[in-house]
Amino acid sequence: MIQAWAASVFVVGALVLAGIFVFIAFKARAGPVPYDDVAHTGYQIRAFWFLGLAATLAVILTLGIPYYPYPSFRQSTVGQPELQVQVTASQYLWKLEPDQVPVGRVIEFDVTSGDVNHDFALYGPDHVLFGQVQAMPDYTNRLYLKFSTPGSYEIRCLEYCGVAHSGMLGTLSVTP
Amino acid sequence: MIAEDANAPLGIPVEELRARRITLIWLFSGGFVLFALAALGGLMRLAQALGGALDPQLFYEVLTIHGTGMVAIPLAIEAVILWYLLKPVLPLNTALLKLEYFLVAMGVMLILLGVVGGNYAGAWTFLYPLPANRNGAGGAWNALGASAFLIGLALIVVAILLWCLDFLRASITKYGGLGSALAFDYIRGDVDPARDHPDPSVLAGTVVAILGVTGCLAGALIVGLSLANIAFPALRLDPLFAKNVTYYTGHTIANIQIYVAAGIAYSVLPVYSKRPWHTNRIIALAWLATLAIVMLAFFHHLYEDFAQPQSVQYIGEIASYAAAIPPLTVTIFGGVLLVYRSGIRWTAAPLFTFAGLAGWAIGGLGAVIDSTPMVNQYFHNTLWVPAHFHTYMALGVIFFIIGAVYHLMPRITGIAMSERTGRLAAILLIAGGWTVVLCWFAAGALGNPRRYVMALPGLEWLAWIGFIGAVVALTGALMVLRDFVSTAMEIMDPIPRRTKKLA
Repeated sequence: MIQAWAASVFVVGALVLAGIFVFIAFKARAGPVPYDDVAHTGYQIRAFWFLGLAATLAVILTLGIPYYPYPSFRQSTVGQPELQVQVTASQYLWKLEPDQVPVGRVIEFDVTSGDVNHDFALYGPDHVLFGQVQAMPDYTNRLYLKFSTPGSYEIRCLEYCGVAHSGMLGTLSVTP
Repeated sequence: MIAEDANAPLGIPVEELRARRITLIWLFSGGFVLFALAALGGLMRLAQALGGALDPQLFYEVLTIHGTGMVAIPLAIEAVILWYLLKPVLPLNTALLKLEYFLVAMGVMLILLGVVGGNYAGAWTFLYPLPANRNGAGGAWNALGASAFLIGLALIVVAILLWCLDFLRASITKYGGLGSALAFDYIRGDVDPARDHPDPSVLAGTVVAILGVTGCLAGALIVGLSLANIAFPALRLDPLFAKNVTYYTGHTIANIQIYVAAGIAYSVLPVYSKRPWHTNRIIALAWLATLAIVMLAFFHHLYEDFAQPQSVQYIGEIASYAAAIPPLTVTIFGGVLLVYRSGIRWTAAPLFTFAGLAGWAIGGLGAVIDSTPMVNQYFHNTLWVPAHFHTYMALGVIFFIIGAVYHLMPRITGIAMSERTGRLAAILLIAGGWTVVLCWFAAGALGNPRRYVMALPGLEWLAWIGFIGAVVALTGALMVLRDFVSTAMEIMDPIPRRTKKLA
């Protein structure tokens, strides 16, 4: 699950960074050592730090491309759409046609809005966020998903759309 | 010019006294407003923990005030701090700072009028056509409430724009051109010791000022168009264009907060580490890169708008990743290096500044993770987003401001704030603040949407822990505010408190 990976990377990274700051805070009290002595080694470390950081980000950027949620990338990973679902958002309702889809098929959700900006977000039967796309007036955003688990998927709005935003719910039924 | 006022301290120029007075007025007003805004944040966390205890209309009015205020006010205060720190080296305008105070005060009044009086609850990141609230389903606000809010916002935007233009004028005048003010001489290797060259604080301020001008102009455009749409419903905007302009404004104005903070850190940390922080080619290149990157990174706010051209999504990701490199390799790394084995005494000023660097670094990590499209698909508009921006704003920007206040007070008033209070408050603010943001990170990873009146069922416990963290942090903030106010009031007392104690 991507969420778990991302959260783990954050926890490890945050702990390492926090550890460095705490270490430096204690080491800072030693001295004073002439700055030139510290700076010389520091600049050498910085060169490696810069290269390592840039290389890491470049690798993540490259590896991440096949997982982009955009239609052209999604079609290459989940396949051509087999069924379409029309999704129209409005304050504070979701209208799905149809509102039932089978597992194992590639579904194209054509998402738009009749009034203000919304965000069509599907939560699986395990209550984990499964996918999302913005619902905008005058535009249709296409989201490609393939379900492997049947059940009732809850639809929530993830773009603030007015005071009843938190209660804007819907359901998509995924059948075996 | 030397002081002519008989009551003025001898030998202090009148211009300096004026600068001190207006800075103190800004800090005094800003301190109260910031604390009130933070308390509103704690209130929202409590309401979420209680499963939506606040009426949604009220909750979103609170959210609108909190969000708008926390973007505008810290930026305004930081700008004033940087202004005061650089006043000795740049010909900055004091009268303009008074006008900016007036504009911000008027803006705040109108925003409060629009929200409290007019029930506007469309948030500061309003997306067209929400402010018009055409069918009345958005909330209880009407055209008047939304217009008052937008005009109030426009006044604050004008105040920020004036600061930016004045700073640019001053730095260009001082260094003989924009290129020199942006330290191009260092990039070209053409540094003449006989001429003035910008130190890192000036360089940061110049880059911020340029970015601020672009952000303010975009802000004026979207506010103007939104007002026009309210007045003339037939005037329709392209929702995707409007969204791009809104996010350019929001991203730029929110982002420059941390870059003004960098300018402050460049001035404050060397005083305590007793080491110089000079401009060099690497710093000049880093700030030039930042100037370009910040203008392009905002596209990551539109990753889930698949109607946006895909090439733009690439630009957004590359710029968002690139945005991490200059601070992590130059300012944050430089700050760490500056204090390492310097023999520094961790008084409140450097302590808060150093802790702010940590908040910036770790918040930046959370931002980079979220700016990866495959991750953004699951984290976009969840609590991960407020988690990362509160990490580098509440635990970054606000810490830099507090550090700067501890640094400036003895210089402005001649009286130092209590170090004991400062260190205790730092412990509370760090412990409480990190508890708040870590609970958000966890809830965001679990898919809890942001801007919800309640925590998702089963995640209330995270909201409760977050609320407890908020109470601890607010206690620390209150201690700082109380100490600041009593120190500031002391200069108005004919018999200073410490003299009274001695007596």
